Amino acid sequence: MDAQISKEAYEIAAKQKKLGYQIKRNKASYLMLAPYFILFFLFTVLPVVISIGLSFTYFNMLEAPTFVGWKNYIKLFLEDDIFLISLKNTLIFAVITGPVSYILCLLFAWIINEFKGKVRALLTLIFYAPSICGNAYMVWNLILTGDRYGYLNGILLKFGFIDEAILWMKTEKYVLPVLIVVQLWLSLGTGFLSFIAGLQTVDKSLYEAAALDGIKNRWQELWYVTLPSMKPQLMFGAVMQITQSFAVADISIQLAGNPSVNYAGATVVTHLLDYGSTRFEMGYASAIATVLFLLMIGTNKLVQRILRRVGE
Amino acid sequence: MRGSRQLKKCMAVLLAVAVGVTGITALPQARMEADAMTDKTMDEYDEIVSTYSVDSSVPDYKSYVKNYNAVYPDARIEVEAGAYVRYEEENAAAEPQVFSDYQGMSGDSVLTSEKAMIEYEVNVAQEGFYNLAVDYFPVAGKSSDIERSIFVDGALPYGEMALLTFHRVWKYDIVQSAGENGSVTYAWEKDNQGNDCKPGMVEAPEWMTSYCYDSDGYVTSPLSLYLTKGTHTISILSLKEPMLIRKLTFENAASTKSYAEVKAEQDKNGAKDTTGQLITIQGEDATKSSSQMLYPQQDQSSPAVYPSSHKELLNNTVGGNSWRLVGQWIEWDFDVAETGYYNISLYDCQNFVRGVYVSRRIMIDGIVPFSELEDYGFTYGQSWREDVIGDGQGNPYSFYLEQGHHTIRMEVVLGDFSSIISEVEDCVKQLNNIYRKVIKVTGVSPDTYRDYQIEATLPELHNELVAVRDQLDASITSLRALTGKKSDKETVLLTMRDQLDDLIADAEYFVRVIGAYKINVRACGNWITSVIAQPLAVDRINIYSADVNVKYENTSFWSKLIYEVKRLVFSFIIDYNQIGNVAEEGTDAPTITLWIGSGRDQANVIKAMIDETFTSNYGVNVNVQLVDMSTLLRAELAGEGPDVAIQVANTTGIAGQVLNTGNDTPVNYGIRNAVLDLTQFDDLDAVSKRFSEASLIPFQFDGATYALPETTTFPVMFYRRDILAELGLEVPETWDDVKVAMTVLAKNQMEFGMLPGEQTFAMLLYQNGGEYYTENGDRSALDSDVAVNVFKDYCEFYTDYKLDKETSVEERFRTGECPIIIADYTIYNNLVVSAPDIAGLWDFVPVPGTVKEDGTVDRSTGCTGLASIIMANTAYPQECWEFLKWWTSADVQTQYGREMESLMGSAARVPTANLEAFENMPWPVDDFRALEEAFVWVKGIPQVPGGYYSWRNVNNAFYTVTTETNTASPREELMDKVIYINAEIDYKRQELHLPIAVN
Repeated sequence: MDAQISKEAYEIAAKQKKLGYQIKRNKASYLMLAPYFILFFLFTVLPVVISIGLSFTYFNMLEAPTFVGWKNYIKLFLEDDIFLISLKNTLIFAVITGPVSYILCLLFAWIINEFKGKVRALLTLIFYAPSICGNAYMVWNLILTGDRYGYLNGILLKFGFIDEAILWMKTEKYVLPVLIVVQLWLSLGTGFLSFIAGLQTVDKSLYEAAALDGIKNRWQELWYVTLPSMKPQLMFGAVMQITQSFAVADISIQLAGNPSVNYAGATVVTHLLDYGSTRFEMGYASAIATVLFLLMIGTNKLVQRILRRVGE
Repeated sequence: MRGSRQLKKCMAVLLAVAVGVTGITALPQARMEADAMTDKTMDEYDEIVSTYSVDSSVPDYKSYVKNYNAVYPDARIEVEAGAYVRYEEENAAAEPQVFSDYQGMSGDSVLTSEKAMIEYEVNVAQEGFYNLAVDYFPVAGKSSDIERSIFVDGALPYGEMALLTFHRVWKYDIVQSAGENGSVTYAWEKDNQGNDCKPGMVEAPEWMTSYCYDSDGYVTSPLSLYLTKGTHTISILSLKEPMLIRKLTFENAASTKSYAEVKAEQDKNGAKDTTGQLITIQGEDATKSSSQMLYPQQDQSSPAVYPSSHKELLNNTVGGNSWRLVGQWIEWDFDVAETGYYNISLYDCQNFVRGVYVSRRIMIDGIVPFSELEDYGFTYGQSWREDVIGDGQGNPYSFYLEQGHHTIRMEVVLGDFSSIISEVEDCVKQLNNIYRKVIKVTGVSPDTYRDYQIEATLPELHNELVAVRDQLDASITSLRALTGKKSDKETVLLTMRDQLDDLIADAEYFVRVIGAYKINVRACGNWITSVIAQPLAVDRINIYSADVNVKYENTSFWSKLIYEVKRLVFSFIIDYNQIGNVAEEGTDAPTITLWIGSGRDQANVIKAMIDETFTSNYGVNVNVQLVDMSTLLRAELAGEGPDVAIQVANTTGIAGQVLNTGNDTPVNYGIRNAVLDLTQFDDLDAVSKRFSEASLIPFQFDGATYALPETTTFPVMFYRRDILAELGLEVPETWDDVKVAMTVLAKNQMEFGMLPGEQTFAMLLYQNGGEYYTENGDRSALDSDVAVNVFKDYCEFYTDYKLDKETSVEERFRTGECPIIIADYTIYNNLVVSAPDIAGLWDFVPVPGTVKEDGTVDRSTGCTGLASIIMANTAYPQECWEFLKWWTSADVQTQYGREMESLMGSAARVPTANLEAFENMPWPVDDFRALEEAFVWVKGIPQVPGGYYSWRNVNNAFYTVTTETNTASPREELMDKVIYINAEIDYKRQELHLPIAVN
């Protein structure tokens, strides 16, 4: 009897475990999930999968792709000097702008959160503004113009620091540092907003409890109370920041051109675009994209691990 | 002061001319008996025309008039055209064509070609000022306005005579039918989307009598010549277009009476008000006009305009921005049923220029009825409104019209602003002079800590500043008096004046504000361009009895709101990418899809031309789509591409970039089998003859031809006549001359303007006999000795001579910082249209050359341009080919060029690749010769697989050399990069299964 019951229960349980049954039972939830999932699958998962597939082919976009095995990857790692330059640039970019802007975001969010009401909203807007108005970095073109009419050159000439205009975006050694500065200026983006949101959701009673438990200063309060309570936002901000700093391309193209002088401003994405458009090698470009994809996932895993230690 | 000095100079020159040229001594009167033919050659006259602007002995009209007693004899002297004493064509005596009783004009008329000079003698009995009227017939030419210079006794009497414009007459090319009220009316053609087609414009030449007017419009009255008693020679030199002349008349135009006088006179004659009459003429129903730009407009800004539709584009108004240039006129016909007084009102819109008003000369039956209508002003207003022609105090003018047929003509004049504009223009010239003087001392970016002693070095500066400041101030005062209040128009002038005040107080202040000063002068220059434009859009003209109340419909707020909402809704329905007729599915005739990469105006013109001449003749439907060409690759990938694409630029799809790097799309697509190889068509060779060989080279590879060229542009050298004359510098002929010129310019703190780029490098490379690639394109030839030396020279311009690598040369040319620049020839159009402050002060010649071993000068340049391609997956290759042949043919290209110009003015002149069409573009004769000369030297830059790597690497090497001047050597840098170029070429050839070069 018992065995029979348990067998029936077993079957029911097995049946309930099946996806189809789950979906039927929670169909409302799945229905609500569906639009996002379909779009996500069509426009994110599918392209990534296709791109990985294409990376094993020769594909010039005008003719059908042909399978070439690992050839693209072999060329990418063994023959392509410029890929190495662009990888180096991207890593420098990511290592500098990623953490710095992440910390800046957090710091500004924390400071702004101290203000009340409209002032806070206004300050948020001011700091967020550069990243909403799409091509705001175009003003840097004016600042960095390479003749004596550029603002930066003008100021430096006026105060006698230089005696001849510098072609900022055409001189190898200046390109990358300048791009990093511009990227930092732009980086108070979505991450920053999510931090502000996170700071506001922290339960006020926790602060009181912490005060009773003997928190000594604001830093301790930040580390032991605030940050642990906003871990999801921290995570989100980090992911955004990493993707941003790895995928940086627009700034480089707009300010330094693509290809930039001696590839001084080349990043993995500009390199990819160069192959994808100018050189008609979509297969190879896909291989680059795949490598970039793996690189991003790896870094994300690493960052997640670090973030788990917050508040410990 | 100035006047009398110029008077003396002028007299001296006249005297010198009299003594030196005609060989007759003593005073002008003594020449009475002499044969009144000058012996100046055409070249000498050309020289005068091209240098008068820098020749201080040629006065302007204002000072010319002041030089003589104001005597206006009422004698009338007619000179028959057949009585010419000399006729030359291209510097050699020739026989002009003489027509008798041509087109209803009795007597002999003489055809002066566009490269001719004709001389007449005129016997003057009474000394004094005479207006010169010319009876002419605008015979067919290149459809642009006729331009002539007129000389008296072998000398240019004043600057304005160097460029006289005679208009042609235009009408729509559709049938005029009689409308109500005696006006003409048209049945507009419609495309199958329901939109009205814009009618084409055709010439409707007729005999005309025209006084000589200032072509800039600064002098509003007809120009007069002061003729002493005796025989004088009048020489007419052609600058542009042929012209048939019947006679010249010297007389004094009767001055027009004022309204009060005219009215009083008519009242006395018993003229009465009419009753109940209302004649409405639609603006778009114009009978004729002076310019092909004056076709009907399709206004959708208000439902009050008639006819109006929220959905279709209807021809409903005329004028607007295309009716803005001085001298343009439009004429309408109408019938009057009752003799008597009428009022006239316009339903018009002048929301173009704020702060000043635009002026029109209004003529009834060819005569200005009273002086108030010599320049009648239309003030700024937000939207369409009724303007009753009146005295401005609310009293409409009464026009006395007899029963019968009449015409009303409105002509653009500068009106009261003319004198202010010419004053400001004069100021800008002086301010630019001052700028150049100052930068000779300080350089363009002075050291603010240094005392330049400007006042001591330039002692005359102070007085010049005061003079120009006073002149500017007077202009501001009169501007204010005219507009009645402060307007935003005057701010730029005020800023300039205030800065001048500061500079007058302390000239050393220049050191601090030299940049701002330059910007202010530029702003004043742009101010001129903006107030010179006199646009006015006209919807209808009402001629009505004083007791009639003219009604306008749909003027309320609500009807406007409903209209706008409907338009919004329809904006979701109408496909704006589709231009014109859309071929229906399932028709028998083949249909090809055409992509156009430029703008909407271009697409509209092309579509109209296709419907007109291509589809009807070849039976092929063409769907025209306006597309951003950078999507071509993606569209092909998705199988959504066109059959034919024209105006195709680089792979990046940015048309402007064609100038910087060659056009690589056809070859890149072609070698990947996406574009048809045109060699499969038998008549390709014949078609290729239409273009210069060079312009085809970038589209050919390995025996295949993947595109036909559509435009060809190449660099030429522009120079500032005034500055070179000031510096005593000859126009450089060779690069050695350029280097000398550069040092002279540098001494004067100026610069030679040449930006680094593929065109510049290619020019030097080809002049020295270098090549980009080896014979079959499988190796870079940039490692040759020639190429390396050229590269060294190229770098030296920017390292040793320190030329500016960034700032636009066009800008610096205008200010005079760079009096000599190398730039694409299309800049010519920009300079003509948008730089009135240096009009007449510049010219262009082929680029400087390199002296070869045999002593000849090689002036080769590279060239680049847009392409027309057929996509490989088209179902109708033969039809597409027919289309390409049609599109690149001389007739079609000429028509397209002219239509573009009629639409957007001469700034839009098409740099067509078709040689025959190029000749037909309305270039002034001299400029065309310079271009023709340069065209001979044009070479094409070949495109090979992997070719994009060539320029990229040369550029990289260049910037390494120029930014690391201490360590980098040009030879090594270039040789290093050639390795990369060759590797890429090998790689690409391998990819495309082409044989690889053996080292």
